[in-house]
Parts: sequence; C-alpha cells; structure tokens
Amino acid sequence: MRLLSTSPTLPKKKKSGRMKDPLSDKIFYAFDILLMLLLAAIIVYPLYFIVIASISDPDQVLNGNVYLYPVQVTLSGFRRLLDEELIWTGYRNTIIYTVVGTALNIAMTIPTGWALSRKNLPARKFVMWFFIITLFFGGGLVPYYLLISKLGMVESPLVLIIPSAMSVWNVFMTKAYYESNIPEELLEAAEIDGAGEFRKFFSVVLPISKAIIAVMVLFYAVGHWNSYFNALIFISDERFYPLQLVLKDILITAEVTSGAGGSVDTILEQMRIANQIKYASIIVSSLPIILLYPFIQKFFDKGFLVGTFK
Amino acid sequence: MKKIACFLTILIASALAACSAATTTTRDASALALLGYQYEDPQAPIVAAKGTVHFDILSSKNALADDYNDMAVFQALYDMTNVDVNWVNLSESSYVARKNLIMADKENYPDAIYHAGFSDKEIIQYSTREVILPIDEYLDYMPNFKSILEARPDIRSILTSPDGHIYSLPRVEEMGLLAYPNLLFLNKVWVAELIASGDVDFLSQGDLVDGLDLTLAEFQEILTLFKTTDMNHNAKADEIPLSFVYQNWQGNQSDLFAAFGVPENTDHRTVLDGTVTITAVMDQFFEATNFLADWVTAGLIDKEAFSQSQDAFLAKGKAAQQKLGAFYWWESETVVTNPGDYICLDPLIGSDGNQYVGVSNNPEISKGNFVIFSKCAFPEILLTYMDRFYDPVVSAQINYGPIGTVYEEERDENGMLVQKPIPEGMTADEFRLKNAPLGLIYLSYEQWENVVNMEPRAKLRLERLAAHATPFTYPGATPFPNVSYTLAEINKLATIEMNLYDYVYQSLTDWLLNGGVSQAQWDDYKAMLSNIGLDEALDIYQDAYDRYLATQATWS
Repeated sequence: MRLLSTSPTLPKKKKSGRMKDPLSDKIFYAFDILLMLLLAAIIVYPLYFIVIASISDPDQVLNGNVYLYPVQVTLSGFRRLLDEELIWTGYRNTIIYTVVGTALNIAMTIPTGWALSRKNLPARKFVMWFFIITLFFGGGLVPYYLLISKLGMVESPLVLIIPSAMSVWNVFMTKAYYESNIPEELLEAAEIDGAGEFRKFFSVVLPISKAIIAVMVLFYAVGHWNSYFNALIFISDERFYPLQLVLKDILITAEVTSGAGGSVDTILEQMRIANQIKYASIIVSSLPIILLYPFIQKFFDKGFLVGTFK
Repeated sequence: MKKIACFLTILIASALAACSAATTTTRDASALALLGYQYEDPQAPIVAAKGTVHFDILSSKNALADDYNDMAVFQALYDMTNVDVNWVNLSESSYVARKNLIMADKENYPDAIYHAGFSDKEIIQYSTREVILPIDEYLDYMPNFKSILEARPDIRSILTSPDGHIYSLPRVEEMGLLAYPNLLFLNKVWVAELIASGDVDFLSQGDLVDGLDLTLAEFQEILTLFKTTDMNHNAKADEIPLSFVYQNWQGNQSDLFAAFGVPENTDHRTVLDGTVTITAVMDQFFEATNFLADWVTAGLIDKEAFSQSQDAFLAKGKAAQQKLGAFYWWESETVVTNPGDYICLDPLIGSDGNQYVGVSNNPEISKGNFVIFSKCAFPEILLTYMDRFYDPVVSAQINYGPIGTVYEEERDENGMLVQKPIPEGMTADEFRLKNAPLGLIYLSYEQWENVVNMEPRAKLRLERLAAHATPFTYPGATPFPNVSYTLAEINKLATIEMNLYDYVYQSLTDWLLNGGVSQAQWDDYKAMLSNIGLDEALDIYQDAYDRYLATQATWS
C-alpha cells in the first residue's frame, strides 16, 4: 500500500473576517468543499472497504453483499492469519530489517547528502555524475543476481540490507535540503569559533536536520517495510522471510500451478483461504506503518516539501 | 609486459585444465563400484552406506507444505536407499521469479530441479547447451521408469524432445477425469414446483432423477420460467437460471456448444479422427453462438458468467436463499450448499436429436517436472533414486502423504493402502499438502485398482461421468495431447497463437454478450483468422501430432 499518496492537502481557505463573501464566492467555496469531500471519499472508501471486508464472511464479500457495513461479522480471517507461525517470524524479521536497514540508510544518506551540498568538496561533479548514472541505468536483473551471488549474499539476510543501503534519489533530496536550509553565515561563524569539518557537521548541522532525518526515516522505513522482491529472489529459508513475503506466499499460492499444484479442490480451497485472509493481511501488514505516520507527519512541511520542490 | 601477459594466460589455462581434470575423475566407473552402487533390486539400498553420496536438489514447494528435508516420505526414502538428498526449498512464487536467475548462475547449479516446471522451449534451450542431461541414456538404471515407458509408448512420445532424447521426468496421474470437466446440474425442487403449478407440462415429477434428457427447447423453457418466477420465494428477482465460468478449465460453456454438434473445449482445438481441428470456425459454432447469445440477452445465462472467477462463482451457490437454477461444474457438492436438491442431466439434446460432449485437452501426463544437470557427479545414482518415486507405493505416498501419517501401516484385505481419518481442525487438502510433496508419480488405472484407493470424491465424479458424459463423447473426438514442438515451431506459434486465441476470445465474448453475430461479421472473422495464421498454426499442430503418433508407433 502506498501511504504517501493518500494524504491530500486541502487548500488553505482565505479567512474572510473583514468582508462578506459575495454570492459567487460562496458558490465557489461550496463547490470546492463538495469536490474535496468527493475526492476524500474516493480515497477513504477503499480503505474503509478493506476494514469491513476483513471482518465479513468471505462468501458474502464475493457475492457483492458487503459495501457499506460488515455482513455476518467474523474474525476467522484474523484468527487464521495470526495462527500462522510464519506471520510472527515474518513480523520479527521485518522489524529487524526495517530498524537495522533504516539506521544504515540514515548513516549513509545524511553525511553523503551533506557532503555533496558543499561546494568545496573535491571531485564533487564526478561523484554526482557517478550517482546520477545509477539512477538512470541499471545492469538488469540477471547481472544483479550474479553480482549478489559472487558476493556470497544469496540466502543471507544481509542481502535485504546492504545492497539497498543508500538511495541516490534520497541523497539528492537531502542535498537539496541542506543547500537551501543551512545559511553559509552559520558555518562561517562555526569556523571562526574553530570548528573543523566534522565538528561543523556533528555539532551545527545535525541538530538542525531533524526535519530531513524524519522524512528520510519515513521514506526508508516504508520502503523496507513494503519490500519483498529482494527477499523473493534471494532468500528461500522461511526463517528469514519478511512479513510481506509471508503474506504474498499465503495469498498467491492459488495462482501458481507448477504442475504439482495438486487437485482442483486443493486450488479452490487455497483460493478460499486466500480470500478469507486477504483483507485481514492488508490490515495486519500496514497498521504499524500507519501508526508511525502521525509522529513524523509534522516534519513534512519542512523536510519533504522544502527539500524537493524548492 | 608481454611476458607477464603470456605468463598469466598460461596460468589461467592450466588452472582451467586442472579444474576440468578434477571433475572428470569423479565420474569414474570404479567410484560407483566403490560406493556399492546397485540398481537392479528396486527395494534394496542404492548405495552401501549412508553419508557416502550427497545431492543438492532444488525444489519449489507449496506454502502449506513442510520443509522437504523434514518430510517423513523423504526420510523413509533415505533409509531405504541410503542416498542423501539435501532439498533446497523455494516457495512456488519465488521459484517462478527466480528460475531464469538460477539458470543464469552457472557456478551454483544444483544437481537437479524437482517441480521444475520446464517448458518445451526451456528444455530445448538448456539441452542444446548441454546444461541438462538426456535421461534416456540412463534408462537402464531406472527399472520402474523403464518398464513404464515400455508399457506406455504414448508417455514416451510425449516426453521425447525433437532431437529424440528425453530430458525430463513426468508426472502421471490418470483417472480419466480431466477430459470431461463439465456436468450440467438442475435444481429439481424448483422444477418440481413448476410441474406442480402446471407451468411445465412436458415432465412429470417422476422424471426428476439423475440422467434426465432435455432438449434445448425444453431446457430453454425451464430456464425462462426460472427467470420469471420467484423460485426462492424471497420476493426478489435474484434467480440465476444458468451459470458457469466462461473459459474456465472446468464448469465452462463448452458443452452448450457441443449440443449443436461442435466438439468444443476451451482451447477450441480438438483431434477429430486423427486430424487436428479448430472448432471456432465450424458452421455449427456460428449457429451455436447466435443461439446462446439469445439466451444471454434474455437473461437465461448469467452475464457474470463471462467475467467471474471460480471463487466468485462458487460463492454464488452459498447464498442464504439459493439463487442457482442450473449450472455447469464437476460436482454439485462444491458449488451449492444443498446438493441434494440438484439432479445431474445428460447432455442437452440438440436440434438434430444428438447428444454430444466435447473432450478437453487438460493433460493427465505432464512433463518437465524434473531435470538433472550435467554437473551432477553421479547421475546414475540420482536417477536410480528418482526412479523409486515411480514405485506405486512410493507414488501414493508422494502424492497423498506417508504411511503412518496419512495411510495406515496395515493394508486392507485387497492389499490396498487405507487412508487414516483427517485430524481435527484441518481440511483434507491442508493435511495432504502439509505431508505430501507431490511431483513425480505414476498412478494410472492399474494402480488405482491394485494399490491405492481413489478419493471418494474422485470415485463419485467417475461414476457420474460414466453415466452422463463419457457415453456421449463426440464421435471420433480425442484430446490434443501434450505434444513436443521443435524450437522453430515454438517460435512461430509464439507469434501466431496469442493473436489467434485473443481474437477468437474477444470476438466470441463480444457476440455472446451483445446479441450474436451476422453472416458478414462471421465471414470477416474467418478471413481475419486466416490472416493471423490459422492455417500455419494448424499445420504445426498437425505435424507435431503426427510426430507424436510416429514416435509412439516406433516404441510400441
């Protein structure tokens, strides 16, 4: 689930204390509000549907009887899902990958972004181009697999953390943030006080970087939380599966018939199970991130918007 | 500088030579003797002692299944054969995503892949690069498999690649079910009411038993009454007269077309007296399409039949007040909550008085399930090990689960394996998938009679099919088998087939949903199909089919 796109920013209405709005403005505002409500409904309804579908009888959902409120309320989907032992190891793994991965990401991204934002960095142009090229050209999947295989990371959980240690896109965002938010004078003042490059970074820059760090944490954490592809192609030991892969496995089995998929009934039964837990699993997997979101949102004006679009 | 380069080349060359020398020595005949290798006695150990040979087999596994290394079936096989297999399990979706990557990573090939799911194209690709081994050269080491191939030239023919070799092992599970995946069920309670009220006068209450014969016109009348009457007494017009899942592999629309004399299946491709035939260009197909389009327009056929998934269809039968009047499926028990209220009809009687069903091409013999890599040090030993899978008792355990867990230790009076009751809180399928790896098996008619009991559901289906489907098979129609194509044919088909079947699908769906097809449209359609390459495709099918028959003839 993409969480970032689901936060419409309502346009700021002009406070109109002094003058009475003319009729045309009133109509305009009424229409405006209606349109926004409609947009909000379009965005909110699917989320609402997932919630009510997760606690309704799966056959009723398939029959199209569930649209406004839950029908034949049952928690069997959740029960079934939470009974699955792998869900819990998946949860644990995902949390580990997210925490460790994000920590590494931040440790790489913030200093790199800072360094690139400094005009006096040696070979700055070269490094920038070096990074930019990777944004637009990739080796493709097979060479990537061979590379990881040569590095000995196939079947190792490290593969979920190390190859994605830094996202160039996010580095540039950090760089843009620093370029526009750290006044040169501040640094000069620090220099006059005798601060070296490291001192400047740790004592002056970092304390005023909360906003960008918070945004980066959110971006990277959501990325780690939702990622499954690296695990899909490199990890086969279920003990190391991240949550998304566990869920995908449970849900997708019905679609794969490797000639061994078994009898009709097997497939149908699996589809029923899958349908029952589909909605529950969406909730289970996205709840933690949804909970994380409000804590970081307050930094968004400062970090995300200033950093990228200015 | 030159000297150094020269020196380096020599160094690399000698290193390579050393490598290849090292690998060849392991494939020495004396090494086999040293291990105490034997293959003649299919019950005795294959090598003398445990822990002497070791294979890595990559395999995808169902999400519900246990790790193969922990499965009792494989542990029993280890005890029986002394061959140590390390199963590397991937999930099915992971395997699909990784297959090409694994095949690209030349240095880390496993010894073999189980549940390989190799297509004809992949088999040709990797066999010409000598990545996978020709299994037929080791047939002597595989007594069970060899005797299967001797008894069944058709299986041999299906497995044989265009270069004459066999590169993969098959899965054979023959019950005679898959060719007939449609049965027509009718709600007899509803019809009984209609008879009682006098709306239906051509039937009596006593007629409402399995095997009822109805003409298209009579069936149409019943469906119309289902549509217009409040059959389930809920004061809502929610009755669905006839439903199925369009183009699904079971419970599809084919038999409605068969009533018009089209030997139809979902591929629109069948073999009529040895000639590969495309049904979607037959004149009767045109007639049937127009007739059935009228049913759709009149609301007799559920419009959702054309878009619904299997599970959406199955959910329809689970409504609190039954909505389904008639439907196509294999068994009423899966579909509706009140199967006792439904009778199984014979095929509908067409306008010319004939009752036909087509045959489907769903294969009961699948290939590409197991491939062995040329890097494998002892292919003889590994293949002898795999050969044990084709022993009927092992096959049964591979397919359903181990003796002791799924089957009783004691056999019944006929020497058949007896299934234990399923533990509380699990469905039959969960229990089976957890304990059985599935994959390489040979369970054919003979084994069902002598070693394994069929599942009760399968038996019920067979009985119904024998009464209501198989006797009505379209004369001369046989399934189009799982033939092998050459690489040239595969490439040609790849360009034709997709357009061809997409076009047929789009046209047919459009006509059925929108009131039918005019003669002019039909002529355009046929012209378009031959533009796309229908005749070329037919030639390829026919060539491949003839080759299949020829190979079969050589070996029988």
